Amino acid sequence: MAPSPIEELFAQYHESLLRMLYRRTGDRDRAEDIAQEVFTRALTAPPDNPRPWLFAVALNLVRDDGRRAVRQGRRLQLLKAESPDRAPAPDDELDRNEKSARVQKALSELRDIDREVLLLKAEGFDYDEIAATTGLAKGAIGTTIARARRRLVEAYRAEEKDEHVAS
Amino acid sequence: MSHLDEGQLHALLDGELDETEVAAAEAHLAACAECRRELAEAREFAAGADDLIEAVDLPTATRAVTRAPKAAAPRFNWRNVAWAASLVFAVGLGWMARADQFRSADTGSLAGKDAATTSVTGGPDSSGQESKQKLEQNERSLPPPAPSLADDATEPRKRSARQEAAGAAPVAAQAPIPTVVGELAQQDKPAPAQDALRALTNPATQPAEPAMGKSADAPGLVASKVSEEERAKEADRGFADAAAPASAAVPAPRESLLGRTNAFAAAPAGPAARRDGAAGGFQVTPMEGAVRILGGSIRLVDGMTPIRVQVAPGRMVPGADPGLEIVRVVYNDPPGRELWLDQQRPSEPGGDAEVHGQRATTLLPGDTLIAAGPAGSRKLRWVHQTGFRLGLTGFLPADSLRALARRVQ
Repeated sequence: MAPSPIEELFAQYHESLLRMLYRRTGDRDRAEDIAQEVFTRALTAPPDNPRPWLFAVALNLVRDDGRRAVRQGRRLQLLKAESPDRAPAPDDELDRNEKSARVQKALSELRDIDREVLLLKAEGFDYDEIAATTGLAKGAIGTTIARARRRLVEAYRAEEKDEHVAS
Repeated sequence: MSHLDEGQLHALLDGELDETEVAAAEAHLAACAECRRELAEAREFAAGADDLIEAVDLPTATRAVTRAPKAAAPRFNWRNVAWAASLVFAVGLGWMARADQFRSADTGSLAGKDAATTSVTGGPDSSGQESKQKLEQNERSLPPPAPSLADDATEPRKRSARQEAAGAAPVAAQAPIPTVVGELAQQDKPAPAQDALRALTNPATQPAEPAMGKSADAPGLVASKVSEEERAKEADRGFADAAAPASAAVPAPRESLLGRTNAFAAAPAGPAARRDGAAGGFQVTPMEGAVRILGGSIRLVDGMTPIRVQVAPGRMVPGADPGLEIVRVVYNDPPGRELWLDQQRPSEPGGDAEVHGQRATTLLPGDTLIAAGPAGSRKLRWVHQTGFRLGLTGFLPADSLRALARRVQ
């Protein structure tokens, strides 16, 4: 039996979308909820150009969800630790979690558009697709990516420095 | 030309400039030390940012695996019953075949040995297609897969999600097993539906592209400019990479600076490219044989599915230890071009064996070397902390090769 179009979309993009959403929100449950909502919307309005469409809807939902959360007075836990305190982790796992948390924090310090462009690039989007997803002009993508990369690396280095000073 | 701005430098690194822009940028870079410094800095930031983002991966699921939303509520349907019956029948048949196989051979690895014999006798004149078919036949002839050397912690999760998404029963996951090849047979096989969707979304795309999985969509991949004839010539010359700087192999000034960012967009690997596997002295070998040659483990690119594995004397590959065999795992990148992962076990103590006057390039763990490969391809070589010599060759910008190299495990 041939899979339905939505199953094809799901098989092809769900993992990538979920990963991007997790990196964007720092919360796997929330990422899964948003991904589910995105595919539900795709079911009702099948997109012509699915990848930019799915990721654009996902990023809009993240922003909307963030605004709603702020209105409700609920603080977004951008740095929700997923596992370190649930079970003792081996040293290397702990290091990875610490690094991941530092990167999440550095990402949270970027402007929305910088963060989104970086995360899309990490999922293999080319500049055309990034432009289609974010609404930026293609000519502005290089500059935005350049700035975002620099800021991310600098923010991460600052995080590391602060931790060394504190410890 | 005025100085290159940061955006242009990153677009250049990402393979996003067209040929004219690349030529202009490289001409300027050749004459401007300041921009070269800026470029080095941009490259550092780009690699650093990629590394950081890669460090944030999905944690283990904390609740039930998400399923694709269904178009309609499930209804009782005789077609489903027939489908399920077919599945049960197929599983039963597979189980019987497996039992039969165990009766006819003492162990699963014996089946692998048979397969090895079959495939090696295919000989150097076998076409790539034939080799691939044989590899697939070998895979089919082996018992079902099990956790193996090639496995990693994230793979079962990925597979599970894909199986859930496809609505398929994870039959293979239930079976126990002994071989690496069997495991690979199950890894990241692109569903036909994925190809169909890719064709749908991008009609210009070549058919039957394999999915690369996570971040597969390697940055900077573009359509090809290198002709089949060029590739055939290069393939006939064998693996013509060199430890010498890129400029030595490809004299064009822009290649000596950055590599032809847009020229990496090569044609889909055709028969000419595939012929290299045999013409260059490489023989197709089953995964088990390769693992044995490498001393019990093999490096693979996480998230990609090998199309075949080959082996050749080390002397066939410049820069390799000529005294040891070299194993090449061949992949296809999304546009269908070949990507080679070469590997050699650590040299014997007192290393740097010399054979026919050829000596292995001295690289230390942590060193990386970028060199020009055949037909405008590029090769990244490095030495793992364990002493394994590794090389990744493809029609990709250096940064993309580095990103892929980070996925080698």
